[in-house]
Amino acid sequence: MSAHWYYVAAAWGLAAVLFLVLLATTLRRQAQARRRLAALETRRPRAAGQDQRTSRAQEIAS
Amino acid sequence: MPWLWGLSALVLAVGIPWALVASPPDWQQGETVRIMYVHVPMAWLAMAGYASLAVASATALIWRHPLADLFARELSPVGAAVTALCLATGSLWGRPMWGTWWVWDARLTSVLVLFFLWVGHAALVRAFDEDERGARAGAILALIGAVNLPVVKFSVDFFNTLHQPASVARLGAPGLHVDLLYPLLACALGFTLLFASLVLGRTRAAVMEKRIRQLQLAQARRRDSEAA
Amino acid sequence: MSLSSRKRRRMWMLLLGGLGIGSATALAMTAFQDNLVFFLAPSEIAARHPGPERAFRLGGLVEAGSVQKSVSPEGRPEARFVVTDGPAQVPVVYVGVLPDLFREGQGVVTMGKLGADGTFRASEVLARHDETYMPPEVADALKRTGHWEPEKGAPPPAASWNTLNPKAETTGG
Repeated sequence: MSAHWYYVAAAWGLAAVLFLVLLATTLRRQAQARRRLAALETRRPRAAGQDQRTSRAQEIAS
Repeated sequence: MPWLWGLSALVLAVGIPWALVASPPDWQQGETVRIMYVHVPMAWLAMAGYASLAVASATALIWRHPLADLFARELSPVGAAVTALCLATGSLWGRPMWGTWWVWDARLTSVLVLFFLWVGHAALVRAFDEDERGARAGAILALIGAVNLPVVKFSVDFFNTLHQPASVARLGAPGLHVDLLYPLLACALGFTLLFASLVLGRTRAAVMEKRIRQLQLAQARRRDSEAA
Repeated sequence: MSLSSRKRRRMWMLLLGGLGIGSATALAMTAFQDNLVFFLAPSEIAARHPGPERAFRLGGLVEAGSVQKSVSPEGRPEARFVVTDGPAQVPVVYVGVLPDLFREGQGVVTMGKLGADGTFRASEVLARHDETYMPPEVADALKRTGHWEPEKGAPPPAASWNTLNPKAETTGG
């Protein structure tokens, strides 16, 4: 029964690898999106101030 | 949202050492029972996750809420991943304890079907040029596949299976002694919080990406009209 | 909140569609239940009579006191035991290494063929453990107090032991 610790280690090892990959990809994707969004929103001309006041929900719905 | 990540880290920081070190072994399975603390939460997430996919799909079809479509699109890859982990850890547990990596009994087969439904949904929503059509097709698939959920749950009661019946989610007292039940519940809570953080994090990124596309489109149109 | 007639129609279609698929699946599962059988219990063998060359799976409990281990003529481990489901018993012979959890009183699922002499010749033996989990001290306490003989089968109902603290008993006594 003591030889079975390989199986336990493999199971938890797989879980660790999987969740670390999911975590890394999610955080990287969020950071990228945040960066690009910030760049786009500062580049927009201030004269078009009307756009900035539109609610996010409205824009998502369009 | 950051608090959700923090909470999952906290609960897992308590639950995982409890499961792997501080809890006692099983009287017959020995240390091998520690696979349960990852296998069972993954199974519960595979099923509960699919149930929320079905709810999101129904919401998308009935009320056409675009956030429901985005949520469903980001949910299925994570759902597929935890279901795959459930199957893999199940095999790693079955080989030493049952004597086999796999059997085609009703429980294992229906969970494999669940995995294919997760993957099918993830692929389907990404297979179309227009996101809306893909989302609609995926929503229909998700709802049709929901019949598999009671099949998975009741497979061990309805059919003769190698996989044992439920120890926790059943009428009557849990068949797990509290020294093993409590660390299991802690791990289940931690993994659920992590799952939610991942899916909501991906959804948030998707919302931002959609806004980016809209802004880029608006800017391109403005440039064209100015050039004209 | 009033729903537009379009939304209401969609909900109805979804509901009806769901009911349709649900009942179709339930019907299919009920119809196929006999054919999707993963293993037969000893009592079911008499009713289904699988022929002598038909491989199938036999499942049940290993009867207490029935396990005999020896060595086959080729020098491999051989085991003879009886599989029971209460009313009926089937003797089994198996050449090969048994799984770690195999023991008297344990569930078992074995693949093989039923010989003319009524002995089941197994090609594969799998241990089928139950849904109970407890620390070794709790199992020992149940055995010591006579509440459970593992070689006879399952432990007593979970409510009677799943909060049991054997250490508290000895220090309090």
